[in-house]
Amino acid sequence: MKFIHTSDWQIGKTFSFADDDTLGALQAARSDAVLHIGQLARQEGVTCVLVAGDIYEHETPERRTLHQPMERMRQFSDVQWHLIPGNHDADTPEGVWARLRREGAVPGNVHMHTHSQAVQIDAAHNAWLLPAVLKRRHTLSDLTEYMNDAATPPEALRIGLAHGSVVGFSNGQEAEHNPIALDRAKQAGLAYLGLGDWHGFCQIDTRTYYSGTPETDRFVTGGAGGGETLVVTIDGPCAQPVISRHRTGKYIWRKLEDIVLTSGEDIDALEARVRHIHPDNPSVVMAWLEVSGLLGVDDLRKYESVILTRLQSAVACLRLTGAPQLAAGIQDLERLDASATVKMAAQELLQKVEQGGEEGAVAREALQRLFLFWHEVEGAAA
Amino acid sequence: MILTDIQLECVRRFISPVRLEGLGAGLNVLAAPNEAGKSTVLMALRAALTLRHGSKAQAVKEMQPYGGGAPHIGVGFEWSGKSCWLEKRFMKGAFARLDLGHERFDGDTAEERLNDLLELEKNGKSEAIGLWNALLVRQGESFAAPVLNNAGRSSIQNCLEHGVQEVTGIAAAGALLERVRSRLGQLQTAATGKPTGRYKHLLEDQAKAAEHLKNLHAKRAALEEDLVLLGQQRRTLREYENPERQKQEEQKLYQLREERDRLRNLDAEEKAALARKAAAVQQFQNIRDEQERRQEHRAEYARLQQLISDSVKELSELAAQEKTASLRYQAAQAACQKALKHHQVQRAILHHVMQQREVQHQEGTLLRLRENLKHVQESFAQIEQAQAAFDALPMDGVKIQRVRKAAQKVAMLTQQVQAQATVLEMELLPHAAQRVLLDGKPCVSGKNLLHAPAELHVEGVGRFVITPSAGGDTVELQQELHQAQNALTHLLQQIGCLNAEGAEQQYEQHCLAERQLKEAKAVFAATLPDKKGVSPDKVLLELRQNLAREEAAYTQKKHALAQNLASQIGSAQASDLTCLPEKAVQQEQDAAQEVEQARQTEHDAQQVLIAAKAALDKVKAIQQQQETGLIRLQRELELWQGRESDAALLQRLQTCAQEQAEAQAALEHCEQARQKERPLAVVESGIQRLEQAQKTDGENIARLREDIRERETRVRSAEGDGVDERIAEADRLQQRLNMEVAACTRDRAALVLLDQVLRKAEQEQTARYMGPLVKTMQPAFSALFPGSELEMDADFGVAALSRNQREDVANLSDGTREQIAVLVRLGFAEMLHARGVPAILVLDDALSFADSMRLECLFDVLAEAATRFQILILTCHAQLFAPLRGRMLNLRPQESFTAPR
Repeated sequence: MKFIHTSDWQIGKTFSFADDDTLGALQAARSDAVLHIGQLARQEGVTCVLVAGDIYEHETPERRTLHQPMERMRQFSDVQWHLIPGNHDADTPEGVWARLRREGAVPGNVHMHTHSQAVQIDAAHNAWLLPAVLKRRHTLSDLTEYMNDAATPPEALRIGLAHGSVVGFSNGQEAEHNPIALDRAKQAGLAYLGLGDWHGFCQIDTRTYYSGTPETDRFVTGGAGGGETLVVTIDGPCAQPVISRHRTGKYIWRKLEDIVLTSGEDIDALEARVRHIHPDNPSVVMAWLEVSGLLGVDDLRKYESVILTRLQSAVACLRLTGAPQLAAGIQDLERLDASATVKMAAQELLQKVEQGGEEGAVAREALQRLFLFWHEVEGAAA
Repeated sequence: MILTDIQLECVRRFISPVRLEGLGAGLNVLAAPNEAGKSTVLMALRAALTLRHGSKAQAVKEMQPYGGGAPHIGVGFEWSGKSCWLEKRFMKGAFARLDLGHERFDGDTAEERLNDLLELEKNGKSEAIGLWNALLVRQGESFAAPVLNNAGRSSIQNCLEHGVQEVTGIAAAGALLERVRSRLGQLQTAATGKPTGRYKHLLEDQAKAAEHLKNLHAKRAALEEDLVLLGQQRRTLREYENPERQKQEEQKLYQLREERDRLRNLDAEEKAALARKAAAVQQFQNIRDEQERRQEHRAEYARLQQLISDSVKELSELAAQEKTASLRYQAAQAACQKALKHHQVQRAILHHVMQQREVQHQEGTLLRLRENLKHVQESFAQIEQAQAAFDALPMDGVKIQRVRKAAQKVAMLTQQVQAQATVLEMELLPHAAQRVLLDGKPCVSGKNLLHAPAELHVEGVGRFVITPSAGGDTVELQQELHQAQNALTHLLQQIGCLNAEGAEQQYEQHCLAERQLKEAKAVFAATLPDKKGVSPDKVLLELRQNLAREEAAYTQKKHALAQNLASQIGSAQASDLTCLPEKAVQQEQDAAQEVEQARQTEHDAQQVLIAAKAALDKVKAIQQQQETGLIRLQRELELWQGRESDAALLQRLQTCAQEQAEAQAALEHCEQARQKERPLAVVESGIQRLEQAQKTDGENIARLREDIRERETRVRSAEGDGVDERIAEADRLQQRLNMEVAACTRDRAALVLLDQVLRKAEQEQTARYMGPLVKTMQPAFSALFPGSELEMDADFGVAALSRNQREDVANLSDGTREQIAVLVRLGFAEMLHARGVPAILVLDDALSFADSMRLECLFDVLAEAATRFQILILTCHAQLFAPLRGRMLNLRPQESFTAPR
């Protein structure tokens, strides 16, 4: 049997650092990921797509956000979509699933599994899906435990689908919630256990995988990063699943940490590094730069020109944390020799900068602007 | 630089060429009356120095004379020992020419060279500006401190920087400051420093976004609360609607009801036993009471019998006492009647005596009345007689007056007629008397008055007709006389007299009768002095009536007395009836006293009788009561015995005691049974609680269903809005705005600091290079304002003077401010001159408000400055500026514009 494993679509997710245009593009990309998955299914000849939770980002999405993925899936009537709730869209009494059912918005080819019981999904291959259903955002019990005892016909292909954290695999806070036994696939005799919650692809064991999100949504996703969808092929109940990873994401998210700029060469190097993320198409690059350092008056102007103007226009989004500071010294004041008055002002600012503190920071900014305006005045005079 | 010649043509009022003559080094004064063209000369000079020859700006057009023309100006001056000439024509045929010694520059070159020479800067296409604008002071400009344009500032800064031999770069700082302020102006207002523009909008958006986010979170919290409560309510509803629970409760209720019924039966039994017992006790008590009552009745019966026998004895004694008292009372009554009768007789006698005496008195009164009436009647008869005599006379005062008047008129008219009549005086012989007839009548001797034609017949002689003269008013007099006579006659007829004498006699009789009447009335009045003023008729009538009344009363009284005598005191002796009233009174009083004594006796007897009767009645009543009680007791005893004999009653008493014992036994049985059961109140309370719970469950179920529906509606409404998604979006917007506001705040803080630092540097630098300017100006200021120190501001104006204390220039008088402004301009010229730049000072109509002392000082200052550079004074006050002793200039018309060769 061949099927697609995906998870964490998180339709409706917002990105606080992004401006309106970027946000619109990122949200559209998340929605389009469903299309890409559908197209991948057709391309691979797959009729069954398993979505391991977190289809929606919010418990109460807007009407359009609610219906959008359903309508995308409706477009692929030849594909059967099997969904389970995740921690973001748990099957609460008045949650998204109840809303969808109430509004009759679920297409015929979309199956929402809200009961923890075995369901046959492919008669030809005698494939049975064992969904673990989150009834609230967080549980402390292992919802996959029932799979151990869930009855299926003999020789059935038992496929588990769950959303949570594999116990012992992560040290993070998330591991405390929605735990999943590390060897659940083995305990429950599953041919495959498709998991959701991690946004980067991750293999737990030979039968247990996190597919990751089909469209990356974080600079730090864990695992091997997101933007992928898994095509799983299992030849029989006892056969090892064969996994092939397919890129379905549009944007490439990278965070460059601890960038220290001290010279013009550093600036050039930084530009090259960012552009190298996707040299052919930098417009799909989402870059987060943690910048610090000290630059002279000229280099600071270069930083503004190269990074803040050129590079920011080249990539989809350039998120900056920190900035290089002006490294103005006595020698830099010499360029103000034309006006003793301005030089006197610059000297006073420089003294304040050297004193440090909040006032020093303001003085640094003031000094930076003094040099900038001086440059403009000189330019105008010239 | 020394101006040596100024010529102008086609400049405003100077259409023909005119020349300013007399120009030379030092002080130059052009004193001319108003509208002589002084300001036009200054205008021309400014135009030649600052306006470009090719300009067609408004300033150039304003120079044109009425009717048009091309303004043409020539200025001759000496510079660095060279004779120079500047000539410009504007508008049509415009050109510029500058001769500097032997060098000549034309057109734009001339303009550029001139600007260089004077340190002017191009300001647009039309003009050049510089410090010279502050040195050529037009009319009215001298009152204000010179406002320097950029070039002017630059020029003076150049002077100063040149002076201090140091490059200060204030202009560059100014440009920088301008940029800073421009940028800062985008973030905050210049005046108040409040956020403005994008920064303000960002702050507003940030506040709005925060509010929006807060609202969304509140909405989300409400939704969460709704969801939690919805879950709770659904669980509660399920619990309420659980059929197993309902069945258990029904079973429990059934058991409780059975228990309650059992307890109620037990209660009923107990109540019945109690009732039986109470009835037996009551009956037992009743029988005991009956027995006691019978015993008491018997005792009472015996007591009453004894009392009745005692009463009978007492009654006979009291009856005897009552009889005796009754006899005594009757005797007292008879005595009292007798005394009363005697008293009545005595009273009648007294009354009769008094009446009799009164009749006698009335009789006397009647006699007096009759006598009086007689006198009055006699007086009245006299009045009547006098009145009759008076009334019989027809004459009275009025009539006699009228007669007298008529007689007088007749006499007067007669006299007048006679006076006018024809007098026929005849003296006839005695024998001729019958022979002479006048109007047929024999005439007598004497005068005859003829009033009308008369016929005189003399026998034997003939007939003579004598006709009196008909002239005058004879006829009218005669008519009047005739009328008067007729009137007199008529009057006399009315009063019954023949003539006036008769009338007079009658009048005398009238007066007499009137007097007699008055006398009679006076006599009548004297008879009745109390009736004065009343008519005698009425008086008489009243007297008669009074007498008649008295007489009638007398008659009646007398008749009554006779009757009384017959009826009341018929038995009395005649001596008693005729006794004196005093005696009669005494007898009556004695009789009255006897009556009183008899009455007292009767009263005492009566009281004794009443007391005896009362005692008798009381004893009788008690006896009656006792007898009645005795009968009643006897009847009741008989009745009771008849109804139930004493033996039967005793038998019934024993039966009751037995019933009481049986009921007590039943009660004890119930008590034992009750101890095994729960109290009925507890069981009933349990039933009530369960029934109430069932009812409340029903209500709760309905309420919960309603609440759940409401909450579901709210939840669906909220989830339709996509609260979470909107919160995320609002959060994102909030963060973005926060970042932008923070950036703006940082930017603003940096710009504010930069502004402060630059301004401080500029002020310090300004203060540094202001030194030479102050140094230059100080001597002049010290001369004019002794002991003062100057304080300059960054705009090269004088901010304040310090004389003992600091005084802001703005607070000084207009005249002083003008003087300061002139000194500042003088200082500027000094600065330029010191730097070797051409400089002059032209003042048009300045210093008019200076007092003579100040003006004197100013003249000294100007004269002293004029030793270094040229000063040109244009004024209409020739006398005022005469002490300056400057070169006196003239405006002289020229035949033609004459440029130096």
